[in-house]
Amino acid sequence: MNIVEINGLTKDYPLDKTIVHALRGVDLKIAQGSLMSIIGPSGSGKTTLLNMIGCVDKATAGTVKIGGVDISGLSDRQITDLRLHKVGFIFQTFNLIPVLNTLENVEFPLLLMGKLSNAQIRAKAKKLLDAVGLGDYFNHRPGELSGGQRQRVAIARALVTEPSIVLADEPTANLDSVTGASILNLMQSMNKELGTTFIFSTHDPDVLQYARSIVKIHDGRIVEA
Amino acid sequence: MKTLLMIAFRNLFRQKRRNLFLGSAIGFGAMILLIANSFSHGISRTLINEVVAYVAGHANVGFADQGRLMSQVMRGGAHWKDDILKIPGVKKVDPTMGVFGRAIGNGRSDNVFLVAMNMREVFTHEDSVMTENNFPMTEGTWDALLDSTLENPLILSVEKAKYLNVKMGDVVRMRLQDFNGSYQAIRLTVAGIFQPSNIFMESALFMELKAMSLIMGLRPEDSPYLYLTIENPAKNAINIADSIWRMMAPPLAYMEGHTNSTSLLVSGYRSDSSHKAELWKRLGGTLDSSAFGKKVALFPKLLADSLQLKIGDTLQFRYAMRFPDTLRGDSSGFRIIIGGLYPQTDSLPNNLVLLNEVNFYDKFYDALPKVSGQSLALDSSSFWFQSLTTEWIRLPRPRTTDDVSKQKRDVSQHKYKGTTLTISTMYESASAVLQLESALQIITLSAVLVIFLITLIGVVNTLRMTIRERTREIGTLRAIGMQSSDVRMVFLLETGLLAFFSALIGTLFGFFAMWGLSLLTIPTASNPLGIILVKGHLVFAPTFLSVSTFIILIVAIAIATAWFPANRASKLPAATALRHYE
Repeated sequence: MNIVEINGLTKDYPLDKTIVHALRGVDLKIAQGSLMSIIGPSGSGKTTLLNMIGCVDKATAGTVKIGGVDISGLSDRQITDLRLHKVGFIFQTFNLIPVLNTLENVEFPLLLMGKLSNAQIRAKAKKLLDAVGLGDYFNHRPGELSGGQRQRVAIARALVTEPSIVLADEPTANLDSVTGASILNLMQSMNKELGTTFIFSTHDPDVLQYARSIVKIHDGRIVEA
Repeated sequence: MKTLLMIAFRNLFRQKRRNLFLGSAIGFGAMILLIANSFSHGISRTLINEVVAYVAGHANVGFADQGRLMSQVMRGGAHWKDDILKIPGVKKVDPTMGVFGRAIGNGRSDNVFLVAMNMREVFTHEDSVMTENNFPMTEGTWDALLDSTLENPLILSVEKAKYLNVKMGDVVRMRLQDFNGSYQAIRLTVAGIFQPSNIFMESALFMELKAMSLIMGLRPEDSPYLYLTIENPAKNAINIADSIWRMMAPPLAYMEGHTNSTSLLVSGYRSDSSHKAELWKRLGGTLDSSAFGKKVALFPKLLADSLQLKIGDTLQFRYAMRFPDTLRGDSSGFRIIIGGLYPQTDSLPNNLVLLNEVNFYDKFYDALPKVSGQSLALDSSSFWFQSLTTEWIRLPRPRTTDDVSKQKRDVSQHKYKGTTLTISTMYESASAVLQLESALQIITLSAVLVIFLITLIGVVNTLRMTIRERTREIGTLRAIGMQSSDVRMVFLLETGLLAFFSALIGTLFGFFAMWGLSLLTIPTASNPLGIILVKGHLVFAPTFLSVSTFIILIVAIAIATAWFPANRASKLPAATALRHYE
């Protein structure tokens, strides 16, 4: 079953007085439980494609379906809700909320969902932080953690809502090779254990070994899948 | 919401220095707003509670005997004090009187206002506190007014004593006009000197009520000016004054008596031209204008015929007095000169003699008549009731200081021939003061709002800067599933919390500043500021309502100002926000 279906996707956006054609007719199907890597040089459209899959940006043309739902017909509120429930994000620069501690950062998406009790939220966040090896760092603010630790928190935050897809935009770009490897191992094991679809972008060939499928993108077009 | 509030609160500490400066500006504005408002409120409280209430009572019942403004007495009105005391909410009714005169000290003289102090009746604790506040004694005590070993004990202010060049025990001579219109020369002995708390109190001289009543020719059955102390005056004063006004509807003034063995009723008619013209018409339209003269009477024709009297004849009229005296016994009388004969009318008794009100009131107040109340019963809305004299003239309740002034002007211009009755409260006597307070409030509020406007431009700028710095964070929050309304709420809460805490701290500083300022002692003598000082100190009167209103207002304005940048931030597309780099 495909969790993501993309047909004829194009994305243009203005840059000063010119138009950047970030995606030029992308067709892509991603099966549930995949561990996919999107590779390509800088400016090839990797991040834009991830943003389209993550419903944080709107297509100029074409369709994006997440779990069979065409997102072009959804309101901003519905899309935000869809992101909260179905998509987890891991960013290159970690993007943790600086005023929240580790535990609160992981709890935050669950608090936005408002489905669980505070005790259940806390227990779930602690369990995930334990799983990513940060059981002793609950009360640390992001500024007090190393890059690797921050990315682990980001992984825990992305997984805490049990999303269908986790999107990671160059998750190891700001990490040393050892830490990067440990993050990729963690994602790999989470993919296996939880069956969550992981899609990550990279331009580092060493990272590709962790992916089970690879999509190459160049100048906004998929050149190899 | 709790999570949003927590994030907003913690965000306050991210740009500490920037928020500290902005918070200081808001706090400073709140402090100035509070001080300015409390100061103007303090001025009005000083003027109303310390000056107007003391000088005029919470409410007062005033008279002008036969239209003489300075003769504040109601003949036969002594019982009114007890009648008014029965009205719920009236705590105390103080008879008092005041008279202008020329005081002569040691080689110096000055115009003064001599005021009676009701010392024989028990002073309440509040009275003592108020008296001591307004007139702290530098020499002697207030009890000295009751010292029977002194001739007419007198208490005056330090300034007045200095001007008249008198000290304790010295004699002050004074010339004044009593309630009967006679000039009296009296000797007063300085028994105490006080330091006035404000300049209003400087010019008054005080003597004891009973002693002054004797000098002024007040009879036991008469009532001087009445000052009312009212429970919760802000709420009750106007209603109570209205009740007293309704209670004091005047009855017709007339005398029941006789000439030889024939019984007569004698009343007066209103002598202004419009009433006189209508009366002439109603009495047949044939009477000569000389019949309406001040010294002559309109006599019923049928009765005149039966007594064989004609125009120009005189007769002696006698009647029983309401308050017998040792000089006249229990009856009084006067001579009636017939000026005109009027035809019988069904509306009036056939033995009613009508005098011009000027003539009638002279006789009436000189010896109040004993009446059954039945002989001249007319509907109070009828023409005849409106045209005949009443025992007193009840003036409409004033609603503003202008009304009070106009009534005084009318009385001083001898518009009324009978004794007028006015009932006013300090809110009417001081409506100009209240207007002054409102004007002061508007001026200070406008000035402070300008300060706030400038401050709030700072709020907008700061917020725009903050939003710019946090654009990627906004993108992250939106990406992980925060609704745009929640993003906006975080910024609004952040601004609201900053404004709230700043205003709160500013208010605390404001209280501290007011405390400090009120400790300063400012000399009142020859100081125009004296009007707003109490015992040489500035008075600030903050109220819970004003303090809470200001804080709410500041927070509301800050949130309203923050709305637009916060809304713009919340509408940022997540992808655009995530792409943003400083």
